[in-house]
Amino acid sequence: MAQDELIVVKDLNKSFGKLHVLKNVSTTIKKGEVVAVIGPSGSGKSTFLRCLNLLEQPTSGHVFFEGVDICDKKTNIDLHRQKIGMVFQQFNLFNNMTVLKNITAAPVKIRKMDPKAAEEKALQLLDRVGLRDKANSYPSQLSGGQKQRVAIVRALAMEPDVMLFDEPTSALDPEMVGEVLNVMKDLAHEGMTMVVVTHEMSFAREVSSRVLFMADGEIREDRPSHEMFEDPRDPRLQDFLSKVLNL
Amino acid sequence: MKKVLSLLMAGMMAFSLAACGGASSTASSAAGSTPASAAASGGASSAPAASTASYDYSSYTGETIDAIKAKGKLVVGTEAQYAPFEFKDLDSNFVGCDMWLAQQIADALCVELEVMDMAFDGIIPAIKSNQVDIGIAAFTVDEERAKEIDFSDVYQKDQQVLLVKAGDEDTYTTKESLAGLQVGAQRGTVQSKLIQAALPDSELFELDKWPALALEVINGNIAGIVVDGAVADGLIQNNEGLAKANFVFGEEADNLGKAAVLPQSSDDLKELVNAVIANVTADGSFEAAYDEAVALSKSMGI
Amino acid sequence: MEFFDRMGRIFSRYSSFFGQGVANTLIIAFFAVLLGTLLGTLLAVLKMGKFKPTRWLASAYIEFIRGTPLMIQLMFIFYGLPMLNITFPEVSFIPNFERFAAGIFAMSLNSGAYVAEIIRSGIQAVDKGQAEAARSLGFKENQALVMVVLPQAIKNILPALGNEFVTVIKESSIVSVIGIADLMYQTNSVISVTFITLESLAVAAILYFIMTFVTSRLIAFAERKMANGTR
Repeated sequence: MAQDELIVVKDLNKSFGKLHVLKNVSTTIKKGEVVAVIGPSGSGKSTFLRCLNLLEQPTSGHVFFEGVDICDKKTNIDLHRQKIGMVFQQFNLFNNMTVLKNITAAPVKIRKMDPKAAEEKALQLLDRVGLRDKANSYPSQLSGGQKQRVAIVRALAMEPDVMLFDEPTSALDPEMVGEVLNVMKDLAHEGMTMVVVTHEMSFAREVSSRVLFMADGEIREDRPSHEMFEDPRDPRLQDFLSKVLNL
Repeated sequence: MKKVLSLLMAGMMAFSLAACGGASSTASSAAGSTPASAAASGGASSAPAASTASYDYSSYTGETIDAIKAKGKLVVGTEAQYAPFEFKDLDSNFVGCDMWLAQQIADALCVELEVMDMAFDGIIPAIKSNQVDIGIAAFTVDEERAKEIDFSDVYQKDQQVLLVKAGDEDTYTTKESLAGLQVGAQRGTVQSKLIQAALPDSELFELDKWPALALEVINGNIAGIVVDGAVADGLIQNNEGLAKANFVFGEEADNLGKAAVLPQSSDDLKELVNAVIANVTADGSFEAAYDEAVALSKSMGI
Repeated sequence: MEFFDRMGRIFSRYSSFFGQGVANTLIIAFFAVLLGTLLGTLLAVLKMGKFKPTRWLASAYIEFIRGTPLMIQLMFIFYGLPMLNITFPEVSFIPNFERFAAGIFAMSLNSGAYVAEIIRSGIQAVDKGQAEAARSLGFKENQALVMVVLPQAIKNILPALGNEFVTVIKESSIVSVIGIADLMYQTNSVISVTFITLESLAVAAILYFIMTFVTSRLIAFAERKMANGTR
């Protein structure tokens, strides 16, 4: 396995009862890559992403993270999840904690970081997304865009090696999409490895280095983003793009 | 006459206590206290009643008696909600003629009396699971119950009274006048047996407690209820809607009576209890205790 | 009104009876809900757990207890267990301790089954994403439960638990069967000496209402406090 291969997915299958959601999915995510996963709804994009940190247990196949098969029962998945940040469509901020607590909880409880140092760092990160003044607010007091920026900061506070985004802007009012995408763009420019399930074609086109097009539980196309948008080959992809781009 | 008797017996206590080996209980302020007062549940004996300890019961021995003496207390199960037999006075002491009898039995055994207050339906299970030694709760001798437990000899036969709605007292005077009508009694009591025997053409209506039965009569749902004489007096005194019917039960009422309940195969204890009952009914002290209990319960009305 | 006049006279003459009954009813209800909550938490954890036998056992227990009368459960515990040589301890300085213990034990076993369902539904009402977010950060399952899910579940659970307490106050009248002098029992004692039924019951009803009303007000107050704390 090459040094720069961060995540290797091999023959991944996932079924919910009779429903076969992922069919022999294989791909490799390299360090520094920004991979956009696009496709019609029900194509298995989110399930694929959730298999990468085992929030969804694959039915068969393997996911290697930094060379370790995390599907192996003997692997302590909790250790690896610390290195895999995740951002959800519905933000999933801890409603019972302040913004600051949301961010420091994992570093303090899991990394055993000094609480003062963790707060310091959390405030710096909040600064970067322009939300320092919300540190002592509760999630219910924030707008959707603010919540999602905090959620990104929460994941970053664990200093992950990769960030997974599950449709991070789909639950946002249109005027808030930009503020979240800007944070993600900054991250990408800083060299963070990212896997982003998204409907934002502009993001996929401009920010991502590679695009996976999924349909019916399969990866239909896997190519650098500028190529794919200029020259879509798969008929399903052509159809999909014509629909989403001509809106 | 009864006062004299009671004083006389209180006097006798002083030297009669020798039967229990002297060290036993409270002989001092015997006179003047009510014969009906009994021990509170904790086991604290507060009952220097007109005792019959002049009788010597030391010859009664056996497995059960020895076990009671070994633990030093007689545990009696009752439901203290049936004046004048067993109830609580204003200081929450267990009182009533049954509690007096319980004290006599405890004295005969030279042990403390501990009263366990529980629902009537729970007393027989408590005897079978050895949580209580005897049940004294105005139990009626009953063949069905006798399969589960033993009965002592009968210690009391109260007058049985038919209560009807005020105004009906001259309507229901014969069993013919009650034919086809519902007549109520507490479930499984002497009264319910009596209705079956004496009013064969009436329909027996049973409930667990007399307060609800009394309301049934007041509201005109049933023709009448049969209760113990003392209960009848209390009800009439406090409920204008009730009256005693001019009805007299015949000889059917003679065969029914109240007895203590004991676990099966405890014949030694049963013999002793029967001896106590024989003595206190023969010398009139039980009747005196009953009369005082009636007086006490009457004084507790509002 | 003669009725209210008699109620007043009964209450003033027998206030010690009623007071004792109120105290005993509150003691039993309090401990029954307290222990029932502990048991209910355990049952809920088992029922939601991964280990099938205990999951089945917890479900069976909950279904059985909720599907049989409390009266019968109480009779079995107080009279049945001693026949198997299982007895409740006596404590010399607390009169009737073994009776109270049995009554509270039975009420707790019963209440536990209901509380288990309250807790389970309270936990399941917390958005699944909350636990997922915690797991995705590397928290272990039980850490996620304790830090994130339970604090939020409590806000769902507390009002229902308050209702359960109110229910237990009312249902505890059944312990009079084994001779615990709760309010219902004391009321029957009053009836047995006064021969006045409805007026005595009316006094008891008012006392029960005061207990349940004050309880539900206190719970509502606690709820508001919690809402202020976490939003």
